[in-house]
Amino acid sequence: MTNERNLIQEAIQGDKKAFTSLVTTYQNRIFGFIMRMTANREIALDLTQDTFLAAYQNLRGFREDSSFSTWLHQIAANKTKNYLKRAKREVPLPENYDTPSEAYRPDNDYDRKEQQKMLLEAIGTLPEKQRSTFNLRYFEQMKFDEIARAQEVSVSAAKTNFSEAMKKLKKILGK
Amino acid sequence: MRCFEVKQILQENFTAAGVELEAEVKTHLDACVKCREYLQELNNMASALIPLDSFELTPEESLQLTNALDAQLIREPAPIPVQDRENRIFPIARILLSAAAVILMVILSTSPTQDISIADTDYEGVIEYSSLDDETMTSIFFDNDDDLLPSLFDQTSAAYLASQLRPGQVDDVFESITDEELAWLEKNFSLEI
Repeated sequence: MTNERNLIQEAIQGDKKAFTSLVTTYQNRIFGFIMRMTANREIALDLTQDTFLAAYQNLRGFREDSSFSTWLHQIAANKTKNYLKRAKREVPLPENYDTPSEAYRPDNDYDRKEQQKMLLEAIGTLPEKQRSTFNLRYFEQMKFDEIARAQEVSVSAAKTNFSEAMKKLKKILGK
Repeated sequence: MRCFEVKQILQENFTAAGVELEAEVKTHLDACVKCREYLQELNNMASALIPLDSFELTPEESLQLTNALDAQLIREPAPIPVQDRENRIFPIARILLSAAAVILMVILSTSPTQDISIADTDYEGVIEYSSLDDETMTSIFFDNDDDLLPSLFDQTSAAYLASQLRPGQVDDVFESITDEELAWLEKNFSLEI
């Protein structure tokens, strides 16, 4: 983490290589988070790029009262929220929603893709706030106070959103 | 420990990394079939969600991301220092604040200091105040023609007044300010109209 702090400080001074190291560390987590929110690989890649660009531009505003990861997720959540608001849709699944090339993920088979599709559809039915909360808590394992900070809501609201998401998903996945 | 408490703990600690159970919860689970079933439901859900655990960028996508960012970062200056950013965000507010300060200083240097009743004048508005280091009451008058009152009572200049005067010392304002400005002043100056 000290190394990360150093990288952040170097990036603030304009060291773009240091920032690239931070991108490399977090790109899959941020991409995964956005992918689960949008279910669209191309859009997730664009929003990941937007997230890191915004992070660089606002790096001075990063305060160490939260982790860098939480801060990045906060930016990603905002970018995604804005995108979803603009798109005004319930995250349709495009044909190419799915996983990377077969060469990269040789274990991918039709069933796995179908399963992912079904799950993304299920998560996509959740309201944006609940989807984001579930994503941050379950997949990113963020604490509720971090989620609350990232979403600018109270801790109890974050817990309620998670609970509501759980109820709905259990119902859908239990079918 | 009650069932609903255990379920709440299980749910709140439910993540892709699994649930770490405290001894007290384990004890309850050993004795409670319903809570064990609930935990099983969560585990089933976790199994179902495994395919979504990690979405990784392909090497090509990773390269695409890095290249795109590099191209954008070349055009970016080093992250803006906080102080500078504040200056960029509020330049107009700062200019207005400075202008209000200048206007107020000009007014103060030319205003009568006698206690004059509004009813005896043609002025549309008056602020009576005393400075922080002087108990003498001073009145600032505003003629409707010169339009000073609305400009002085915008939020920026009102904020300046708030920093210069003691609360409750602005005694009177008249109809040339908007309801919104009046509400703001009432809130911030404890005005008595």
